[in-house]
Amino acid sequence: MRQLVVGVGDGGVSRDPDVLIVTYALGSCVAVMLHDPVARVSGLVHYMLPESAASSDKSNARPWMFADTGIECLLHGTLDQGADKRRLVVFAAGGAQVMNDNSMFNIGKRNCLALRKALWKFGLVAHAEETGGTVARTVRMEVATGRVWLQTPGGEQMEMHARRSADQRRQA
Amino acid sequence: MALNIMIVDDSPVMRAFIRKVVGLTGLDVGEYYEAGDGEDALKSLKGRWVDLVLTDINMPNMNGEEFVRRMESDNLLRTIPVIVVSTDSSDCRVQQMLALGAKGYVCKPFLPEDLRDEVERVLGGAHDRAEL
Amino acid sequence: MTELNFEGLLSGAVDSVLETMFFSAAWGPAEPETGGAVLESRLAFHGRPSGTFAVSLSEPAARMMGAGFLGEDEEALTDAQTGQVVCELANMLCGSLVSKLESKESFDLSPPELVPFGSDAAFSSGSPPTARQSYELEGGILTVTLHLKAAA
Repeated sequence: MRQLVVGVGDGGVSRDPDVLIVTYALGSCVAVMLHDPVARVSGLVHYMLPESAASSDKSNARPWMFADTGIECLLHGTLDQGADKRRLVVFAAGGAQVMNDNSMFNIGKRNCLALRKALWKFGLVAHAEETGGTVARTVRMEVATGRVWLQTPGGEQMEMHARRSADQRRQA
Repeated sequence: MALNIMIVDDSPVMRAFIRKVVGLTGLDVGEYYEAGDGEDALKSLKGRWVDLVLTDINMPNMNGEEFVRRMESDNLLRTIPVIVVSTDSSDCRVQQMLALGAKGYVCKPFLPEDLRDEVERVLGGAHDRAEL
Repeated sequence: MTELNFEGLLSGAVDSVLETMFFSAAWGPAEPETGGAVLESRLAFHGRPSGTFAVSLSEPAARMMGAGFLGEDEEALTDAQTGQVVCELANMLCGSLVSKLESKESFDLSPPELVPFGSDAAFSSGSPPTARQSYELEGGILTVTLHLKAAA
């Protein structure tokens, strides 16, 4: 399987079934993963900061760097590749925080709030979140299946699973 | 089949928020009807087919408690499922509204997905009854 | 209840409401707003206990929170919508707080209203507040004020 590495403040979308999207060192940054299981499109953004309004020059040049513009780019990128918004599965990870810091310098917490704010703005809700805490995470996402694995510095690897909605519980 | 939803709350922005949450369910919504209090809601329900009502409690003119009581006393309106969305999370209020006939209760503040799940749960039950 | 408990309850209500539905946060205590545009909303609550509750919010913070709540860009918000969001914030903070003051009995809230900032006396009969706290938000200051009526 070929790796597509998404760097800090960057993003990527693919329909190539042989691709594994990877992003490393999610500390206070947040990664959002979108997958359409029918169109088999997957995308990931690794954003660093919550709001683009504070830096309009940077957000024009590097839209993936911010939660609001980055998630918007990711959404449009997957739709451009044939995804249907109503089918999108949304995962998110990251936003680690320094303990006992409740100030505005707590970028991890601000990024987590910005995640929910942006998802709400675009009419999306996360099906699974692994956010907060104090450890950095690495994310791997299979484009073809939308399966996502997280890894921590301690070496533990876990697969993310979508929270079942009421509809899915009824059909079980 | 498209569903018609009524949202009853004296705050226009709260009605907009709830409307957006219903959009997250993926339900096929035909019409949204809105009312600022129970009295307007009852007038609006006359002659309209509504599949779900979401109502606040603290409203002027007619509050949510009286509104649900009036719905329950009408043979046709009592078949419409009601979800209460209120800041009052006291045990006695929740029990009171469920005893009056409400099928669900969500306390403000709420996560959008929590109201979404409650809407899906209540309508799932309503659809099950229709299939019997 | 001691004053310390009220401060804790107010802060708990602020944290819960801001983060859950307004995608915002209080970043620590602050001095009350003394200048600039401020929106203020007040309401009364009836039950055991009864009293009044007020929220004042710097206008830039109000617009930011309004945009978050409605899922819109700030530029698209009308002044009326911003005012309605401040009123809904007051409604939720008051309800969240009063539910904690007495969780076994129900209560009624009056419809929240926008009022001229700082017109305290007409609302509270000039008595000092039971509790008042100010918080730093992104965009400005949030102040919440609680007056409890003495039990009859």
